[in-house]
Amino acid sequence: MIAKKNIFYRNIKCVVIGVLLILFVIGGWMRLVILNEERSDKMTFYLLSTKDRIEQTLKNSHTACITLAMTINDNGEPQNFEQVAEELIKSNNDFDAVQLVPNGIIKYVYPLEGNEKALGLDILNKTEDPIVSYEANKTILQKNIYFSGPFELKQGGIGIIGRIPVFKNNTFWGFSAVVIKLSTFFDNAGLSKWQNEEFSIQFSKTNPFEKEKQFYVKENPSPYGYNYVETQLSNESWKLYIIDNKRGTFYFDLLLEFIMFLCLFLLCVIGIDYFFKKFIFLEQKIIIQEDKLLENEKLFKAVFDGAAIGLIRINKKSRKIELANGHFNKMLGYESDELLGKTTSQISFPEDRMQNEANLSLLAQNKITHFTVQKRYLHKEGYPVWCNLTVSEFTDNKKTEYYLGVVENISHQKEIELKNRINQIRFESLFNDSPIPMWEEDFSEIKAYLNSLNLSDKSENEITEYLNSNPKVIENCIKKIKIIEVNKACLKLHHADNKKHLIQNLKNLFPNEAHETFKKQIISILLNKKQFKEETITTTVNGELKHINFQWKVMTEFENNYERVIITTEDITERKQHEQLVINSQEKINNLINTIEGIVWEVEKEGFVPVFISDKVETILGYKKEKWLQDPHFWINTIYEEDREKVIKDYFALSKESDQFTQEYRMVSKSGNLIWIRNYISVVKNKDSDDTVRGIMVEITKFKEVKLNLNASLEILTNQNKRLLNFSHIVSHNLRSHSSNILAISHLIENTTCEIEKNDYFKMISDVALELNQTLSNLNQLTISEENPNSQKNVINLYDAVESGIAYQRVAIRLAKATIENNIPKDLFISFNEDYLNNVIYNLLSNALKFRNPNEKTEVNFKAFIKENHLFFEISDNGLGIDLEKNKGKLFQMNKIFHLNISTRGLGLFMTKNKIEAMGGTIDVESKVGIGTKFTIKMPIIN
Amino acid sequence: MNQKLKIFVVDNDQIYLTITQKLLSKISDAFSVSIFYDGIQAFEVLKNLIDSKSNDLPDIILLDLDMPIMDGWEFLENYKKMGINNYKSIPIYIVTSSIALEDVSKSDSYQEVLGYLVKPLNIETLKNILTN
Repeated sequence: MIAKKNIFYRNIKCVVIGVLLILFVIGGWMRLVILNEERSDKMTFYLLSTKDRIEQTLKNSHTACITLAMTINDNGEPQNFEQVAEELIKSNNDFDAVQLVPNGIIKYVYPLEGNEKALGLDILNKTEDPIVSYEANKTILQKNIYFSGPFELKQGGIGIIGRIPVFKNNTFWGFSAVVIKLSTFFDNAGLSKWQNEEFSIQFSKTNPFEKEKQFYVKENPSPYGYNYVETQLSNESWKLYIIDNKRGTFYFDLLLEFIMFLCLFLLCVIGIDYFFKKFIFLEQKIIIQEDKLLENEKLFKAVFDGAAIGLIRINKKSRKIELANGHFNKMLGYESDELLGKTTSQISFPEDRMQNEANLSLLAQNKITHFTVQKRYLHKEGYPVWCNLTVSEFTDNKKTEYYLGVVENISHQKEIELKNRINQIRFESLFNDSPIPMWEEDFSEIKAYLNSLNLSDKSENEITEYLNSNPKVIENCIKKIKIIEVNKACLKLHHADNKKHLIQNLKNLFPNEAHETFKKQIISILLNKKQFKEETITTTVNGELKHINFQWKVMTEFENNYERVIITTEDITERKQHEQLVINSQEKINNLINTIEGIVWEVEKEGFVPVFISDKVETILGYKKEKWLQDPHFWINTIYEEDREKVIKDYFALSKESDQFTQEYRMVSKSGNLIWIRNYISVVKNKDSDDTVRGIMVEITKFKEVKLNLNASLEILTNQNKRLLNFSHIVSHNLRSHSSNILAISHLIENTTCEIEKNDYFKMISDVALELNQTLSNLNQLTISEENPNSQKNVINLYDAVESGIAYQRVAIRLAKATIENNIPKDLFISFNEDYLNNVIYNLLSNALKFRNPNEKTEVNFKAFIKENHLFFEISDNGLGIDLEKNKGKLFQMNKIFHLNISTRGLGLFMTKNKIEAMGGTIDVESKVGIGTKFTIKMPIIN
Repeated sequence: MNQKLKIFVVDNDQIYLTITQKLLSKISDAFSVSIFYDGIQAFEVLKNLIDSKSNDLPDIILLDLDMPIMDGWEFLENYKKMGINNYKSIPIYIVTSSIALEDVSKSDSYQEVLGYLVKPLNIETLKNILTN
């Protein structure tokens, strides 16, 4: 506040000083203007008065010239020139001589003395003096007086010549002129006698040709560089100047005045500053005093209003409230001032009004100095507010007496008191009428006894050990139990008539198992626990066994000495019986489930969280039940990797279509074997809980193996059947081919008589017979290969078999200059008929050599490896290759030939394929023309 | 006949070819008989003749079905693809030992095939074909 005011006054002070400064500047500037104007006026006065004098001199000269011109008669001859001139000179001292200049030549001069040199001068002649000639001509043109000069006169000295042109009969006659010496001119004009220290005078003429100014008052300076005023005279080339000599003195005087003003200004500033400082000081004092007063008032008000207790001032006579603080107003729900003017009885609860009046009367009669009561005030909304009221006399300085009431709200305490009372009643009622058997006991002696054993720093195990080795401690504790109360339900549980009856039979009520429970209870006390519960047994007074839920708890506020403990012994006999029934049936179900030859399982539909898995999981897959139940991803992770994606995809697709479906897939057992599973799945929709999915996973590995073998056998049989059909066609075709030839030849023989021709036909029949024989031989070979060779299967070392095959064809290999590589592992065995295997190796190697590329060095590579339970046997070459796009379907057919000019019967691959398939294998081919061929034989692995 | 009838006989059976040539020579001397041991040989010659727009195209083709490298069916497929009928229609007769019904019905699906003849051919059958 003070700081704000200080800033405000400082701003005001700055404004005042600023205004003063502006006034000072304006005053100074005006003073400068006035002084300048005064000086200028003075100079103008001198200038104009001097100009008047000069103009007067020139007028006199003009008059003289006219008078002189009048002397010229009509013939152009001057009459009485001398006399007139003398008169003029005598009567006028403004000029020094007069002249008549007919035709521009100075002919008449007065006084002649001293002016002789001027006679005969032709002033119009340019050669004499160009300036004089120019000015003379200008006079003629002007037809009026014109003052030439100042210039150097012929007769000596500097002078001015005033000429008027004279015309006779409108013809230029010449000039009438006066000669004024410059000194005479300056004397008459007052220039010579100029005596003024402040100002100088100057006279100038501008050269008509060079336009330069020449100054003629030699003793005075030129006006340049000074302050001056000027005026032009009747001769336009003449100028008169008044020059200010005292300009420096003027500024000096002005500076003095400025310093005086400045001093005055500074004095004013100091005065203003002092005034404001004093003013601010006083102002601050006032503000501080105001603040103190305000603070005191606030403090008082804050104490009164902000007191966390109700305060009221009561008029002693009228008993009306004169002042009530915020707390009191709030306590009774009134706004400020609403209570003022009301009596204390008016706001008291009706039942408490009399007591209020009585107490105030005692106070008024000075029988008491103060009183304190618990009473009820009436809240604005009509409900009672319990308060603790203390009223005492209050006297202020003016001796006016009041009562001061201090009111404390005690509604909360009153409420708690009430609640406590209600709780007590409720507790008693609950205890007695509770359907659960309850005991109220005093364990303080037990607690004290146990404390005396100094077991407080022992662990639970140590305490248990101690109690086991000191059974008397438990017995002592039982003796120290004080039963305070038991409820009706408790008597009913134990079939006791009353409390006494129950206590008398107390020892019989707790069999050995219950003693164990009591021991655990004692351990809890020793461990400073406040509660304990356990399911245990008890008996009735008649010895009937009862299952109870035993709960023991130290009552609040008795935690230190255990003086009150509540024991409940809920009868759970019926529940226990039911539980046993459930356990028994559960056991039966589990037994039943575990007898099923499949894994019974259940998961939550959302998230596949496992709920149940039967023991068979361990038998079928080798995994522990617990492992399965712990991991929601266990089932998915255990599915064989190749099947997993399909199983999940199918599961979601099938579960959308139906609530019951079946899936077949492979799982990886703990030992790493692949187990075929058929999973019968049911989605179960539960009304009260989340949907679940249940199922039985049945192992079908053997079934699958049988099925696969069956499929393989079926395929082989189908293929064999196809081959047989094909074979029969071929047999039929080939035989028919020969028979038709024989038939045709025999027709030819019949129809010819030529013996030579007949002989040819017989030879042809012989050829047909040979071919027929060859065909039958081929067919015989094929028939042998179709015999079932299973009984002749041997376990053969493949490496050795290939080595034998290579050795068998070594001549052909040498002729073909081929490189044969046997890269088959030496420990690899194949289940195959030995003759067949030799035949297969022979055919494939022979084909590789037969169909070799003549432009390449022939390379044949034998390779074998095991993959996915199968043996792969590869024979690759870099031969001619076969166009598989065209020929793949025909490749393994009989009598099919793919290369021209190479001798072949088209039987080798047909027989090779037959033999491999007869052994339960397959053969496939990859080939590119010009690159080579690779045959891959795939055989099931042998154990 | 002013101009010799051009006959292509396609078969890998040497004896059959000899017999056929004998039978043709008994019918007339005015035949120009070309022998092919394989479908591919016959097809390549035929293609060259068509490409060169030659007048020596055959007037009739006797085609066997069972041949190495390119059999009769493959020959027919390639022949069909060439679209030769737009240029000149050549009657083709299948002459085979096969009596399989599927071969007979398959041959019916080719417009180009005028007849399916089972070996042996006798002189009357040949005459009928050639006069037609």
